[in-house]
Amino acid sequence: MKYAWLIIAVFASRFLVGAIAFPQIDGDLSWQRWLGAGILRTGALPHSLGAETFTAPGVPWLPQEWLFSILAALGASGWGWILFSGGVALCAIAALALSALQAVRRGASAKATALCTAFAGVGLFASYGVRAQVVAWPLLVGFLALLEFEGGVAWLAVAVAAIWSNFHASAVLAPGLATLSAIGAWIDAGRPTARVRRLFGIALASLGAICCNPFGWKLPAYALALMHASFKANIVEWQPTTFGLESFKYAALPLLLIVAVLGVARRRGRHFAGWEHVLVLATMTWLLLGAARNVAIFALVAAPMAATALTDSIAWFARDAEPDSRHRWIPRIAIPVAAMTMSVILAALLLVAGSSQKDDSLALPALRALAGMPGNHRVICTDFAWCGLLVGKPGMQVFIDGRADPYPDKVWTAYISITRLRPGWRRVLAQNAVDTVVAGRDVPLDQALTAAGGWHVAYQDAHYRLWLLGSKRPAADTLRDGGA
Amino acid sequence: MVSIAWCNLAPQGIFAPLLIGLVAIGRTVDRGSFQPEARAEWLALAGASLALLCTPAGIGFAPMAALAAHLHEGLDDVIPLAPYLTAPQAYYALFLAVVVAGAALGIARRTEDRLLVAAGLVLCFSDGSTAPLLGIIAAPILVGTLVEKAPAMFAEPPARARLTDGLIAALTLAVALTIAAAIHPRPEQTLAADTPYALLQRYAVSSEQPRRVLCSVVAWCDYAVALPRLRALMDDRIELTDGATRKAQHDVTRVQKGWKQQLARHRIDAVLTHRSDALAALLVLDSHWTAFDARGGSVLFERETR
Repeated sequence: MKYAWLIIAVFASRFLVGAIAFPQIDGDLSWQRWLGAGILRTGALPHSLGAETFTAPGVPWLPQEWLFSILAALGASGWGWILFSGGVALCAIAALALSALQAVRRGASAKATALCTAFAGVGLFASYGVRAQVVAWPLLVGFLALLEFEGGVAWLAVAVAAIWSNFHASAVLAPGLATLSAIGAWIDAGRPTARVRRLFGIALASLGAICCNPFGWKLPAYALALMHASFKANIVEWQPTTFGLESFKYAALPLLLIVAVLGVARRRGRHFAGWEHVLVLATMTWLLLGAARNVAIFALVAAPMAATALTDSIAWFARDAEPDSRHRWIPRIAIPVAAMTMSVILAALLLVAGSSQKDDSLALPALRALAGMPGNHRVICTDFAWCGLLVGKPGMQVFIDGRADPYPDKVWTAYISITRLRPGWRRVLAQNAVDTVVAGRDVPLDQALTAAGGWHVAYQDAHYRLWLLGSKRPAADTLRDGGA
Repeated sequence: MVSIAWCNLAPQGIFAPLLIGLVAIGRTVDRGSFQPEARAEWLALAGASLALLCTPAGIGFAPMAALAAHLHEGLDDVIPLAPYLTAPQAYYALFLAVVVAGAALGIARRTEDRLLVAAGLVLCFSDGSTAPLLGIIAAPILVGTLVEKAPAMFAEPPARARLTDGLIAALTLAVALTIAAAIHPRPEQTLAADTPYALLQRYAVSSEQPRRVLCSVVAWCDYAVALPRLRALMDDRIELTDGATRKAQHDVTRVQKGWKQQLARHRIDAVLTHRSDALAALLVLDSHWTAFDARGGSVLFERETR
């Protein structure tokens, strides 16, 4: 583990600075704050979409990220923000550390643990942000780690599943993973041992635990329905993983190659880590192949398996000898000091030279310009996540926003028709009485509105355009061109 | 000799030195040092490398084959390479089979086998069309590992059982071939039913002038190669294109900034695309282009000549 701390320290800097100093990578945090504030104000959870959307008001909605949203609302600014965003970053760090500890517990050497922790850290980048799913990462790794404990401690996994279900619907994985572990342990042992019975018990209890949230049985039902939801075809991170994805190429793929080539089934001391791990790995591989957003959880789960496989199969990675007494200061003092120094230096570098809030990817200037315009607006955004920043804003109703899941298929079809200029897109735009378009500059809809007529530009810069219905040009002071 | 034949039959012949190199490295690693027995493998590697020169393309074969075998960064901008697109039926099944079998069994102790399976997986993830290569590499290695791990289960069967197995295998092959021959469409039937081909054919005979065409699906323009007076910006012979051509193809089909200038720069006279593409919608709105014909889900636009 001694080298892994260095790796974790580097990633910790990146995660903390990224979360606290440069908060938003998508628009979800805005509607989550709005949701959290609403829950705190009314003391109740919404069960349907409201007037903040004009395409699907009244449609059932299961706000699975309710607890995260409350925390987001409480930590919207000042020290609250630092605590909240820092807490989310700590979840990512904890997940990485738990993964490394799991590798050590299974007997992986320091070198193998460090290498696989580095791969896992890179794997987290694709989905990292101040997001509810990041809070679920340590809960997943912790759940799997607890399953491997002997005795009553393993039952703590049930409590982890219950907490998990209040943060993210991915908690539905818990009973499945526990069942697969139980089946694997049964195959390995050749008979239903006490451990096998305990794992089956945990699986059953986890099934109940993931209903211990305000939605009850509806949460697992919702999560299962999500597996086949057609709207996912329109969201990049739900697309199957491809070689072009950096976090796959440089994190998940190396781990996948290690476990596929070296194998994870082998006897380790008193434990036989065989089918139990293979079945969990198969599930995570299936998830990895299915959606790019699963690179992170695959990396966290596969890293300990890969580290153990490297240790067992390649002499160079084999377990290090105990250092003699003259060199004990290296792991005790030198490495922690080096880790902290690297962490501080990296944090400073990121703050000075890293990406800043000026690197906007959320159409903020165009949305600000829209907020300054009088009247009510029915808005469509060419990236639906941008419209998440308009949810709950006075005078604004959105076509679709980052909540994504509850919007019916017919709304998604209409949205795709408009933004991808499918046949009849102008008719669909008119039918929905859209009067405001927030568009990326030169995206298809932006080009089409330029050519089609009947719309005018109310704001534009190098990256975005705000279109309003009608040919009347706005007053000169509202039409600014920040473009190059 | 096999490498020479492979290079002259398919661009994937460029994989020959890679595969032999992995075997040579694996054997050298397993022996612990470079020993005289290793000479054969390293000589084979040198021979396979020289085989790259033994084609009509000569020294130009390697770069050309690398492109044709899709070993080039950014090709997925213009043609589908992701395995879930090019090998959708095999995507989950093949990868899960190899990964789970490998994880459960551990690839046999030989390093060369481990390297070969790893290379097969990387190639297949980077280009789904190499899925058969992964299967060809991984299947015997995994079966060999299985036999090694469970020798009792795979003990040599008696002669009578071997004969029965052989007969069953022959019968299965005959049935499979019969089914394949019965359901495989005749070439002319395929072409007649193919709307991109029909559109291009009609466009080709509509004028005596040579014209340049761009297809939003690169493979559609393979037809243009065989049709008179048509020249495609890009077809499946990806090795014939340069970076500028591929960028033009990408910019136009994804309607990126400057796509109209790309059409003008490459003097494109016609664009064949899906009706549902954004490109089709934008060409409808452009007064310089008119729909020449539309069939099924495809539409062919022609540049106004006036």
